[in-house]
Amino acid sequence: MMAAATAKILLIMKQPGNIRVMQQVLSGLGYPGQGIPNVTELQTALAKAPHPRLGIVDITDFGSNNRQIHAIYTCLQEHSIPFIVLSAPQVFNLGNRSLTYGATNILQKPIAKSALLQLIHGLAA
Amino acid sequence: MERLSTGVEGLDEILNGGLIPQRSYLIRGGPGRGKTTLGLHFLTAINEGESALFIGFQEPEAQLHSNAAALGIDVSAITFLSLAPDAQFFTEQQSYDVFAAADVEQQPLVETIIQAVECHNPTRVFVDSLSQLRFLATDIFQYRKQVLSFLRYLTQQGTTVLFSSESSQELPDDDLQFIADGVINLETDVSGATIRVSKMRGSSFRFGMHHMRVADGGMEVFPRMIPASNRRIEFELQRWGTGIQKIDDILHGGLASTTISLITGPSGMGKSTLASLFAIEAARQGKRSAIFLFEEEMAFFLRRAKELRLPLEEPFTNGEILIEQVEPMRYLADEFTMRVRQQIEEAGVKMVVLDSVTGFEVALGGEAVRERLHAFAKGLSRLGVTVLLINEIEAMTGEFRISEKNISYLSDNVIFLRYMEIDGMLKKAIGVLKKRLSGFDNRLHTFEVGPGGFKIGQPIHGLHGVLGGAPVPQDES
Repeated sequence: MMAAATAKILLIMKQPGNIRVMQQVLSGLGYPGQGIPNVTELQTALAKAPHPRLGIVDITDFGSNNRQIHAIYTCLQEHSIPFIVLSAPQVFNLGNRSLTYGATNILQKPIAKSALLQLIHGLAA
Repeated sequence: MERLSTGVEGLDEILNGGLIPQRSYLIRGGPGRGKTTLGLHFLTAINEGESALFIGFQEPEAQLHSNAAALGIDVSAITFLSLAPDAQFFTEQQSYDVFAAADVEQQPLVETIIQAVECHNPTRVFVDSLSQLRFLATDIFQYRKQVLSFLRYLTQQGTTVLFSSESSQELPDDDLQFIADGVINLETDVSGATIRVSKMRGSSFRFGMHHMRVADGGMEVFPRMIPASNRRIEFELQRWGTGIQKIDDILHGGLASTTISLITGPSGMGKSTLASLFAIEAARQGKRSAIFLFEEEMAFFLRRAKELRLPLEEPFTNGEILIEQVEPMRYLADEFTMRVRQQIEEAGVKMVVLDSVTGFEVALGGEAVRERLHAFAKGLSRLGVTVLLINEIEAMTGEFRISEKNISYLSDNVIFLRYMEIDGMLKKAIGVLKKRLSGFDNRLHTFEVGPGGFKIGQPIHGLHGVLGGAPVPQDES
């Protein structure tokens, strides 16, 4: 329980508003969330200890830049970090493809808070 | 039943004294209609020992303060809880789409409101507007439930709640109208801004639209005059004469008090002069009258009276005859009737001259003159006031009509003035068509307007078709 409470969750997304509300929701459960806007910062975060327990990737923020999205997935996989992908309805097909890159789940925005928290509990515990 | 003032005198009158405490009331209206202003009036009307809370979803507190100051409303006694987003929400890109707004905002919002209510223990709350909660509800059922629960929470704390809504075709607020104990609508029509109460649980109220204005000092409401159901009975009906023996003889002593009289005829015949004679004679008997001039400039009116050697100046100067120039474009019709009523109640006016019906019609801005004049004249009459309506007819001669506005039914007495052409000369005739409470001389008389007012000639004999304006000798007809 204590380990779960201190486990960092990487919020790989660009929209400051999304990072803020995600952090608010996660902090309510005792999970600190760190906003990561690009691959470089992701690499820096992964290089530091302790290792994050989970990543949440909002692929909508990266537009149609498949290369960047692919780099994020690769990075997370290399460090064995489980990750959930969030996708807007209009790019849901792109999100579906993320399952083949190791995403544990894909959720369509707006997501139900309770569903996300349940998922996080299962993955981060 | 105990009543709470809305802070707007005219609205309290429409609500038969004000709002019933510990209930919730909806203020509806489009943008700029005065919903927030009314809410501020309500909160500033707190009595000693009361406290007021403004819960706002739209404007920041500073803006509310400056808007209130611009209207001259002192909001220093109000606690503001502004839930409006600040500028940083935009500049720091704080909008989000990962969660539905309901998932993120609802809980902290409810907590903030509860905290404010518990901290200030308000007796009056204004929520501006409750429509915002609609966007935080997952569905309409949840929204209704949430609003009901919210209002119940506040009223159970002993609070009286006013809340506004912004209804549109896309987002109607019918549900809020069902939920609220009372509904106040702020609207506009061709004649100007209006206020209308459409619901008030547990109390009667004055139906219909009433003119209102938001200006310096805030909101002013002018309750529409509705005639009382019963006339004030005067056991001894007095007569209002002109002081000119021949006219008073034609009227068998004069016009009965508390009646409505129509003085009708084409332009320039002397209708206003005749009405002045009644006012002057009333003043001579110590009764106060008021003349409302919609068309003629007061200076011209007084000057003409002077030229005709009518003793108008003295009673005007000492306040026995009140003369008011009314600019119909500036007045709202209900505002005017309220002004007249004030003069009756405060100055003890016993006779009112409306000069003229056409000017009053302009003040109505397109509303039906017949209904409004009915309410005005009957309302005054039932207050014990004698009413003289000056009515201009456009046709100089031709088919005889009492009025082109279908208002003759309203009058207890009708005095008509008529042009007639005899041997190439334009002459004037006066007659009485109707007099409800007594007989009258039914003969037509010629008359002239000159020094001293009206000079009544002999009854017209031997002519036929005088009312048509082109009489012929009787033996030729």
